[in-house]
Amino acid sequence: MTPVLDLRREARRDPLEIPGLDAIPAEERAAALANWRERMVSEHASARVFAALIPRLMAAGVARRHVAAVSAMIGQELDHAVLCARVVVALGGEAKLPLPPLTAVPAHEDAGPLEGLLRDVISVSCCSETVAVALVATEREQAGTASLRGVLGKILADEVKHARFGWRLLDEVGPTLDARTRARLSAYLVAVFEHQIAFHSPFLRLPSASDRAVSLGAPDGPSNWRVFVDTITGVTIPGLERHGLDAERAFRRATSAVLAA
Amino acid sequence: MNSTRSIARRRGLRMAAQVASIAGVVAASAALSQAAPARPATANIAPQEGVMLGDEGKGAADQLGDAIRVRNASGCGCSPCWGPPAPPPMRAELLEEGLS
Repeated sequence: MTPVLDLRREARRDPLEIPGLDAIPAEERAAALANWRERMVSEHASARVFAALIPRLMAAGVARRHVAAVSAMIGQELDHAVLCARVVVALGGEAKLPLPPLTAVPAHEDAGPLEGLLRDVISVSCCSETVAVALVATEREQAGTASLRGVLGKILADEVKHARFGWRLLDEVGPTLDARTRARLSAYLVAVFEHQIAFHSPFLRLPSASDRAVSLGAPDGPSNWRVFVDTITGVTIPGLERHGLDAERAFRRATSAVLAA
Repeated sequence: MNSTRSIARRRGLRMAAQVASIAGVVAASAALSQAAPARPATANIAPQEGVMLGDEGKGAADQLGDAIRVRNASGCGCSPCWGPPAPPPMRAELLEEGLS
């Protein structure tokens, strides 16, 4: 049986108002609603990714403050789902949806505790959450009402923490890594970039959205895709290179199969 | 409309760069992008090694996006995803290549 996420009660408890909705055509409202619904379940499901980091952090023997910070991130992702549920209801939708497939977080049995942790942190914080910062900050800039700007602002503040956690951990442990571990992590980056491209490629199937639709949170496919590629190439790759990882080569390898076709 | 979106994107990118502590790099790229077509950090990649993302005529996002559309590469589903996905597993051949 597919698990269902039902946040109707949570959304009712603290309703959100989006003024001026009547003036927005139904299809534009529907595009925004679809996105907020997808977002609600994705945010909820991503709590398990942070939960899986806790035993990794402990096994790697990192400072307690990192374990505590990631513990808080689990709750933050769950809270984001409730924020999205409030928007869903405000847009006239139902805050009840099946959860997406809950892909297992890999055990990284071929790696030691620190290398396994860094694989996850690079994927989650340095890629996914760094891209999320750029995407959500872009959306917040375009939000049409104070209430939506507030929701996006809260989500953004947490995404900043989630991304910064990874970059700080790399700052802390990066200098201690030997050449072999750097080479192994650089090899892993190929899988990370392939995964990131696949994860964000649905943006390519979405059309551009009107200003009105974007102001409600409808995704603009071409614009979001550009934010993703610009963040990976302009922020993540230079950031990882700074830590002695061969991120440029890994990205080239990850994209070569697609671009050579 | 495009200029509003481009300003919003630039601000988003700048915030991500600040988080990763490479604000200087992106500020420079942003200044460059106002004067010329976007040149990503991978602009110096040699074409014979697989990719030419720094093409003057087309940005990295357009090139990669076009290629994925042509191949009809699949993502995680038919709609965009939010929230970090589970990291991917390591592939044995990547590890062998990386250490050779």
